[in-house]
Amino acid sequence: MPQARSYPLRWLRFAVGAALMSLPVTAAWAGGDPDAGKQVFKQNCSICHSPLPGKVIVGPPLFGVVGRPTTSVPGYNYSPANAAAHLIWTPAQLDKYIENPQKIVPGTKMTFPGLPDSVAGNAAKRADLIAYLSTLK
Amino acid sequence: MGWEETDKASITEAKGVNGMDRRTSLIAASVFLGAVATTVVATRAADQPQQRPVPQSEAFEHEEVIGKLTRLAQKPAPVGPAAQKALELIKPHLDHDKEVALPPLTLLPLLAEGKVTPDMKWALPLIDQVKAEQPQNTKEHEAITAALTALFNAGEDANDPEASGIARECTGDLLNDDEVGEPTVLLIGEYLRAKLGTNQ
Repeated sequence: MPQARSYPLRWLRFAVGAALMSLPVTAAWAGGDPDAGKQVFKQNCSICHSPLPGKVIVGPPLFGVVGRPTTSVPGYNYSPANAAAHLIWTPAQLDKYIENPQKIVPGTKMTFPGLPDSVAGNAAKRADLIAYLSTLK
Repeated sequence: MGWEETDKASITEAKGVNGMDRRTSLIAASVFLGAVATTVVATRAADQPQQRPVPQSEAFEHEEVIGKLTRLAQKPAPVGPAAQKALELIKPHLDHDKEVALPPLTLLPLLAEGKVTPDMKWALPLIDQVKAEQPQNTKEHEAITAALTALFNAGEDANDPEASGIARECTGDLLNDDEVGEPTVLLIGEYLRAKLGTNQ
């Protein structure tokens, strides 16, 4: 009876998943301030990206970016590197990407140098920025 | 004619001869120095890599960018210094493009007509250089983007939409390099090699 044996396993997985989700979030990107993040966005991103839906400037709009897959804005011509990356822009993934875009997606045509950890205060800026981006939905 | 007159005449004659000599010497020295200078300039020119023409549209666009940033650089802070910083990064970058990346693009009209001739091989070393310099080019684009972002922000802070607009326009130009310019240059290299059957 293989099916009967798989139920406890399934429940175990669910229980472990639920337990992990209920743990306090301690990731570097967590706990950011969206108001401060709006300033970070303005100072670093707004030259190329709009926070409004459907508004393409040099880069794709960042409205709804959190949680969406790469290359998902219709009509925007993404780089082959981005298209091949197959990433989901989770907060954790965005944090890594904004830290050093070329490291996470080598060949990306986004020439933003990033907010690297080597500069003090950048981890907090990224957290604030991601908190702001999370509000764009 | 007394002795005084004779002597005066001799002296005048002598002065005349000396004057002529001096003039002749000066002319000779000028000719010599001119020849030396010409030789030095010619030698230096031979040492420099030959700069080939670039598509006029690109040359014009570069002049426009430099002109706009130079004009912004005359403005007071915060726009002026931000524009100056961007200019200092962009100008050498564009100069290098003019020497290396842009000349192969002059072949495009002929290639589009299906005309490939062995004398087009001059472009291959330049195209190889473009390929070899890709990582450095990306770094330079990142630094320029950072400077343009600062200029954009300065324009926003100073309520100067012209400055912000020019900064944004320049980021569009950078993207054009990455999306169109550089891939086209590399494609020309691939095409020439395939058509000319050369691995050079």
